[in-house]
Amino acid sequence: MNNLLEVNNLTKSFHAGYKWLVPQYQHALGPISFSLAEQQTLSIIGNSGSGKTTLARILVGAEQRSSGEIILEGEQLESKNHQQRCRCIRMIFQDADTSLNPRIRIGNLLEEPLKFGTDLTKKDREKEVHSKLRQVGLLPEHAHFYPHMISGGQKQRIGVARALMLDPHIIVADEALSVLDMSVRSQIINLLLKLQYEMGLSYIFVSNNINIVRHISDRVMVLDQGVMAEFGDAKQVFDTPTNDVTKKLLYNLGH
Amino acid sequence: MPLLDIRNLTIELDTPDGRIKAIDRVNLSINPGEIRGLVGESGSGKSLVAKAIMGILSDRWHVSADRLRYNGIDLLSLSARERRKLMGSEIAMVFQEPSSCLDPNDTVGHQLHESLAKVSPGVPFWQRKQWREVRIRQLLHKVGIKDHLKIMDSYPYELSEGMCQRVLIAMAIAYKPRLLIADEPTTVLESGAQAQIFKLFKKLNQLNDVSILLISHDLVYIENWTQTITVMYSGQTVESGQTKDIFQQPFHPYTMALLRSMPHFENKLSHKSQLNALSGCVPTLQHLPIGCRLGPRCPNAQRRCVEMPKMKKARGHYYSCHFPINYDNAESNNE
Amino acid sequence: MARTSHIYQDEIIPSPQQQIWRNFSKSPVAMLGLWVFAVFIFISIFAPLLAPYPLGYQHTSALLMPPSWHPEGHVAFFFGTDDLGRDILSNLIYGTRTTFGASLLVTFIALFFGCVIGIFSGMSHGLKSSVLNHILDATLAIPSLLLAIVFVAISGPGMTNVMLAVGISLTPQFMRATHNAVHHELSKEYVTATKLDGANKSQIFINSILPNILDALVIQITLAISVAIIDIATLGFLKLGVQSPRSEWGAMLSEGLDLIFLAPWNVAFPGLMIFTSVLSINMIGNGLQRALKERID
Repeated sequence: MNNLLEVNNLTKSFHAGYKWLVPQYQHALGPISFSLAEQQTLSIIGNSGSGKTTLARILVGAEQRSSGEIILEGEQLESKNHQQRCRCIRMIFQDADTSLNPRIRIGNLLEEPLKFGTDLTKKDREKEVHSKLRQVGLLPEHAHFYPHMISGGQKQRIGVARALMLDPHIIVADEALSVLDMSVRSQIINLLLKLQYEMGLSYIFVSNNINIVRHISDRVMVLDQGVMAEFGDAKQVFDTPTNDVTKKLLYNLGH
Repeated sequence: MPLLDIRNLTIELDTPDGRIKAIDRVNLSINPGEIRGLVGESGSGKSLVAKAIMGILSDRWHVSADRLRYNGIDLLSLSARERRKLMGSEIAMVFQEPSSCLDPNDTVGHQLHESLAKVSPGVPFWQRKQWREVRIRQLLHKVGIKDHLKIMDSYPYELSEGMCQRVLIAMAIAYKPRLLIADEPTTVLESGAQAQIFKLFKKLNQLNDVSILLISHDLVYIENWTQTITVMYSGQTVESGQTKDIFQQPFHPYTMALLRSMPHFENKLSHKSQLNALSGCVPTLQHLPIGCRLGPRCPNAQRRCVEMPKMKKARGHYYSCHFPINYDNAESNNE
Repeated sequence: MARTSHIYQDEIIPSPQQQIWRNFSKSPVAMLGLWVFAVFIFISIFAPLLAPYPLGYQHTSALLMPPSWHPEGHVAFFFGTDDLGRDILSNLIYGTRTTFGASLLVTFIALFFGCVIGIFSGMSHGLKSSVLNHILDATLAIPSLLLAIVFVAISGPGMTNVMLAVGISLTPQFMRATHNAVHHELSKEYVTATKLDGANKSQIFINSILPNILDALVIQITLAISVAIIDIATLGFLKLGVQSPRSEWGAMLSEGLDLIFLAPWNVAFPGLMIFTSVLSINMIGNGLQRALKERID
């Protein structure tokens, strides 16, 4: 089975000041290795400070890795090449309020990826934006709104719509559901499940809500202080956790 | 006699479009020694109710109620000064984001001293500081902080959120309140810290006989840590009663929808199937529906639902719905 | 497919710009400032048409005449005349062009250069950004008036030199404000989102950053205009500015200073004009700041 995404020995160290003019680095993550197949959902769980957000951001290109390789669809991903990445792997941000530019209309916001990456005409871009808005359950009229005019749940749907632009194969959701209420969260999860079924997407979820994670993921990775404590099939990890860290996490989160 | 008795609480807001009832005839009562949960999504008005009890709403909001009594005292008839006195000694509140409730420029110890400003009478002034130190040590140990000296010397940004929340709870229980209102106290905390805070609430409830009004939108915690709950939707009480009863057999479609939307509760869902979610979203203040506010989204809604349903009682379980579900087995007592 | 443009929304929610205008126009003080500002601009543009007498025309028969409401005054010389017989009103009107109009021009030129430099330094990262940051901080320490005086003292008096001097002294302010605003914007999530959409640096700037820094820039512009007016007037007062026959408010002030007890109107009216123009700009600036703050709340 061809793996959609393969990550080998990924590490990340942050710059942590200077000591006698020598730059010091703090090791935050790694080495991490895993793979992801098509139409598969991988969830990353762990305590805060375990590096799950860092890993998500490295995968999507918002931060640069220190070493290791990421192979997407057989091609090596270069660190700074955003143009290459944005066609294959995109992100849904955690806080919809800060990730939508408050000064531009939603339609313009959504057509940015198309403007930068493709040669479509204005009319084609508009059509694409309308079709994506409909796909996430909003109306084409919403393209004329500004972000402050719509509710939190709808803003998150716009986040999903933006992630769907350019038809990627993998979508990374960095705690995108934790700020939402339960009923809105369920709606967005239903939307994501539907999209996965229709479009064959793969997801990488970073979340701490065990119930949701259990319901939607195929594989689970448990991170503890930057190291992969456990990785495997979701059912297996939840029913029979082998690692102490996993056990403690599951206990804390209510199982 | 209930400790806190609220009947038909209505909170209105003046807008360019007229007066809008943000909270519409909410009923709530807390008995002494009880932990009550107030459940609702964002937009349901739970924080407004808490703030109305404390009397800290701004002048834009107009509060009116048939009964808003604490321990027999009518809160609405008190002057601002009398209200503050009552608040200081009898009711305390804990808020959502602990680190923003503490002054970032001051050490925690200094702020704890400030919160214990009123010293008990009979303590001569040269012994006051010592009295406060002793009291602070006791309070911090009570909330589970062993290393009190280190905590007192730190600034709020140096402490974790869970620790800050414990300090705030210590400040809240300084004068031994009988009612503690906790407005989403654990939403921003990590899971480990969340469990500890709830255990602390339980301890306070059992040992010190403090009644707690726990406001939250997370049903999992509410199920484990409360004895009775009130469910609110868009400013109206929807269901209220014993936690176990409601979770086993909810009468109102909204409660049912809330429970079913959690995979935790609905065991019949297969892996990766669609969750049961109510379509639509919470109505905005400008577009509140008439009558039962769940009307536009409710799967059982019929024409009668434009009339606000009265609160009915069935075996200690209150609900307000014209067409309750799971109802065939229950005996009804119209109130 | 039905054209949805025929259905109108039941509530019209204003765009951010409309909202700022609404908040701004709610304040009578700010609107007054705006009107006075508009009147000044009008006078600057149409000065030759408005002034009753040509520039620098000396009426030898009417020296030091008091304003028209004084028993000895004459309505033909509405605000009176100075010791050379020049009509004060005409001089004030032509002076609007010099002081007020030049200050606007100078501000916008300083804005242009300051912004360009500020944008380039703001968009840079790492060592380059740090170095530019420190250099800009140093330029802010230069007192604007002193710099202008030194510049004019070296290159000689005259309007172009004055404008150049004031312009150079205003530029660091804009550089710093733009640099800060751009740098602050770069840390926002939506800029990261745009970067991940595959935009290059200039596209990130135009699409995501520019709409958000306009607020800070506009406030900076109003501050700069008031500083420019005062600086140009001061240079004129020190006789380093325009030479006769061109009139300028500060120069009129200094010429009338000797006669302040004999003919106070020579000093009062130019002073009043300077005061009013700076006050109107400040009122606009305050109104804008409040409008922008209200929009965020």
